[in-house]
Amino acid sequence: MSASTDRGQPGPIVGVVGAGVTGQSVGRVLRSRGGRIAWYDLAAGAAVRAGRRHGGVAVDSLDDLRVVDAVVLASPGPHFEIAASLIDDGVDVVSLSDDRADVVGLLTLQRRAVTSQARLVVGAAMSPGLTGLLARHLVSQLATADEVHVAMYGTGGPACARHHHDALGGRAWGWHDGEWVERPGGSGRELCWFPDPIGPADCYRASLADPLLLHRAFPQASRVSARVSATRRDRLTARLPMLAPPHADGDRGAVRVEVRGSLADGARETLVVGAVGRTGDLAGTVAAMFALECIAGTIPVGVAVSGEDAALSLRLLRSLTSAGVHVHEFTGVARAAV
Amino acid sequence: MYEAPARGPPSSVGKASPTRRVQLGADLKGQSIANLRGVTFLRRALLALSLASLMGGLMRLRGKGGVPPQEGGWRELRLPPQ
Repeated sequence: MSASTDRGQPGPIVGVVGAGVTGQSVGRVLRSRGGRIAWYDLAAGAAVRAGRRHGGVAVDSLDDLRVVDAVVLASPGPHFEIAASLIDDGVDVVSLSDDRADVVGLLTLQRRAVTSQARLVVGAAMSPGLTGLLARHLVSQLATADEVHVAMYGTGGPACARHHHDALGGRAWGWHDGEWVERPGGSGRELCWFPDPIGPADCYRASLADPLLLHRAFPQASRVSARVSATRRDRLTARLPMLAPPHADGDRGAVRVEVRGSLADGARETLVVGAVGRTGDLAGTVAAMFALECIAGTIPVGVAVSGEDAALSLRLLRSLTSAGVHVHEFTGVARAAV
Repeated sequence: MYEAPARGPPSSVGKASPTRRVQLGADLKGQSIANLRGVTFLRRALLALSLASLMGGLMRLRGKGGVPPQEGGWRELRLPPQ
């Protein structure tokens, strides 16, 4: 590892695996918080370019990252093998994986993480990730929370767009009245309203990791679902190869979290919050903040998911808003206009 | 001596006749194949259009559409004090 470029600067060293749209966002936020970045990407040129643009050094091998304080996995999944290898060496890992099968595997690493005194944050992106933090904020306002429903609009970089495409053609899992229910991706259309300027968008079930992680964070909720926005063309071509190449830079996106439950006096309440911004920036900022919390030691050793810890979630939300993430709450009644 | 005229076409025509028939047959066969291909194409196009219409209709009809919030608006989230 050629870390001499940043020698002498204060702050922890964070490895960023994947120098794409989201990875560069992670690096930018960490640099603004005094972190030093070691970039790694399968495409060596991408890591070098990210280093030139945001500072830090490019490393040639994943083995060079075993000496850093934390590693953020912002590359296309699966992350299981890399994460398992790093936590075995005692390195804290933050994974942005949103692939359900990959997330299932990552959650099984609890014992190995505890054994090596490492932290593994699973699903630290926008959805999952920011959704869990927002859901925790809403759940804390209710006496009982029965339902958690999330929806996402937009994609980050090309890899995220490909996953979005595949997810619509996969099998969607949701927690429904105490059991997992499998439904086809692209079904269950629901018109979801996102904060301005996104506005309303049709959202559908998809093969997402969110329900799995939200159910772990909020086991009391009897219904958990996740949807993504899609056009008719997205749904029609979901089971085919991508017909058009995804945009290289990502685009503006949004996330929306709706929690239903009851207040202390028994009255039913539906609370809605959302966040809007460039999708890669939102995901990258969440991951960067989780990495800093890992380094600070405020996340317990083992596997952690977003929204599990109320105090940590509130602290992270504060950090996110201070980093420029725009979080909005819906102020109205969740009912159709007369 | 009277020689009865040969029945049927003149010899020159008679010689050319089988060839002509073969050519006509080939033309007819070619036309029928072309027609068949046209009909097949038309059928497939109609089938594709029907399927597309059916899928489009299903996509439009499936899902309840939910009940979106249409009263109120969004405001910046105010986090509780530490």
